[in-house]
Amino acid sequence: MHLRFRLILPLAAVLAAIMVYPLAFSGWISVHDYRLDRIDDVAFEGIGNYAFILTNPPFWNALTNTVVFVFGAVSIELALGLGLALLLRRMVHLPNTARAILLAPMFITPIAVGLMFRFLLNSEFGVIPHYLAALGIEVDWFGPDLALFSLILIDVWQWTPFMVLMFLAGLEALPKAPFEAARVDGASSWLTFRHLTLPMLRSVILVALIIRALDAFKVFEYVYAITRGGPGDSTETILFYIYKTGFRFFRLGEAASMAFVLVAVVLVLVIALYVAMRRRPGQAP
Amino acid sequence: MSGARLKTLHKSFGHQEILKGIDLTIEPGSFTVLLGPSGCGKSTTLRILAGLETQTSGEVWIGHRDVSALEPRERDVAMVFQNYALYPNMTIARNMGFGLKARKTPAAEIRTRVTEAARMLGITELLGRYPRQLSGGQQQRVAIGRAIVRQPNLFLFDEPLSNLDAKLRVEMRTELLRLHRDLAATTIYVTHDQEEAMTMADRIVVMNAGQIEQIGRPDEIYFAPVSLMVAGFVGSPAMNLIDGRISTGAVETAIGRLEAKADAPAGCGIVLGIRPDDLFFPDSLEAVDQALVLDCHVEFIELLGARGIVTLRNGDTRLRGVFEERYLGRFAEGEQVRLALSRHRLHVFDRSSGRRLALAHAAPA
Repeated sequence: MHLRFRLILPLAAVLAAIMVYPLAFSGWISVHDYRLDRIDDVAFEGIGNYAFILTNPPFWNALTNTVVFVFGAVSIELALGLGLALLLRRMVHLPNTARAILLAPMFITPIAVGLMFRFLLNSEFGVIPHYLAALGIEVDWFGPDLALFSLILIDVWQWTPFMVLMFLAGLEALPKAPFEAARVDGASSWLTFRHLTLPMLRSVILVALIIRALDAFKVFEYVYAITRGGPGDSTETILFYIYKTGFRFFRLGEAASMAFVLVAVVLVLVIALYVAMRRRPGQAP
Repeated sequence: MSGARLKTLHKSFGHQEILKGIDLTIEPGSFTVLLGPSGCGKSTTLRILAGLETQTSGEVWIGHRDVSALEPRERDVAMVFQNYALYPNMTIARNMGFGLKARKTPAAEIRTRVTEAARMLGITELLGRYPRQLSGGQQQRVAIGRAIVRQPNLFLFDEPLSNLDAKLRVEMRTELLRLHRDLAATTIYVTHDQEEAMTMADRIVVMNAGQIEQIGRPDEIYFAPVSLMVAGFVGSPAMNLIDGRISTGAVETAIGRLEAKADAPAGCGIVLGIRPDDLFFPDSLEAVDQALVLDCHVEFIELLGARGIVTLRNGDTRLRGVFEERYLGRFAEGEQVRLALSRHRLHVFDRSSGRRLALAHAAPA
């Protein structure tokens, strides 16, 4: 064998062991009735698992919850992040201190953030409901109507700084001259933002959206730390449902097939965003 | 059509004083060039006029309005930037129409004016393209087009041609002059290229270290520079500068003694300036005009085409002369040659202040 092939062998072996084998194995599991409590009695199911989950209402509920969570969280983070980045750029006093403080939530591990908000928002002894009650506002943050929305807010709290960071970098990389030309041309701030800043930030925005959306699809820690999917199944997200099916109810075959469906959904989203990013004005479609 | 006025304009960035009191009146319809070495404050002056920078003190007037505290958009000026500064995400047509759109001009009128400007600049077929699909020269035309559709009070150009290659630069120079004549718009043009300044300007403002050195027509700047800085900066090849001093009734220099009275006390150090085109053969100069006759050693001859640059040495002093092709045959590298200076073409400057000294020649013997 040629030396160059021998040189990549170790890496190929590692890759096979930690990526190819688990992926292939989970693919195999997904077409079998594989249960952790009956590991020596595994029957081939074909597309049986897929057929079952695609007609299973709790799966669709979890998927819908996840899509609502991703869409809600990422769009609020986008708007808020862009706004804050624009404000931070104009900040004259202590801009670096402000940036550092603003970035802090990003460095906390999500499970800790989940626990923190579980206490902060607890309807009986949480500090936030306590002060809201003093103002005459009674809100049950983790009640059936608001629980998913509260999880979205927690995600916004933790991950808006990431958007701010991306947009600050993007804004700083923009050429200054077109903006000066726009000032001389007489453009108002809104016109400049709408027709210059936003289009020129387009690729940064799309990259930030991809990263954040992918990450938000994996939401698990907040659900695990706070609601465990409840009340009822109102905050059951897809990853939490997969975890429950696979590791609490031991139905790994079903869980694996759901994971593959999730991969397909995410892939469609990523491809759509990627195509949008590639299609820049001024280039042949 | 408006003129503009700058009154004792000062500008500092931190502790660094960039402009040290600029007073300048710009006549309506004129083509004024701000000329100077890099860092002299010419671009800053232009940016203050546009409103992109705020002056530390002083006033800016455009027409009969004090615009010192106004935003760029309230000043009604158009500016062409060195790097074009086109909007990368807009088509050429939208680039050119953006200023009108910002002023809420009806779409039909924007279209008419953009089409008209594009026709003037010969870029009609580019209107549907994007800036990145254009060459540098085309982008510069678009930038100029974007300025002229606005029909502003003032046109400001910040070194607009310096990113273009030499041939294109000469072409665009002519084009800008033609546009200026057609539009009769007040134009202020910043450049460090003295050739650009000489060929384009009605009036040149030579700046140095945050101050105005001289204001004048191109010929005044060239033939009567008021200071050593202007003399050395304008003209290519540069003026020959030779150290000397005043003695009673004469000016002593390394290349000889001039029988002339300078407006300075004896002993004062001076610099004698001779333009490279002011070296003559004695037979082509009337005897009464000859101020000095020099025997020179010919070092090199550089042929530029119809003219040539000859590097000469007189004693320890090196001189550069520009001669037409028909005279170049008289030089041979390594040989001696006799040349004369015209008494009407000498410049004498005070060495310490750099100011020009008046020279009164003794009556010819």
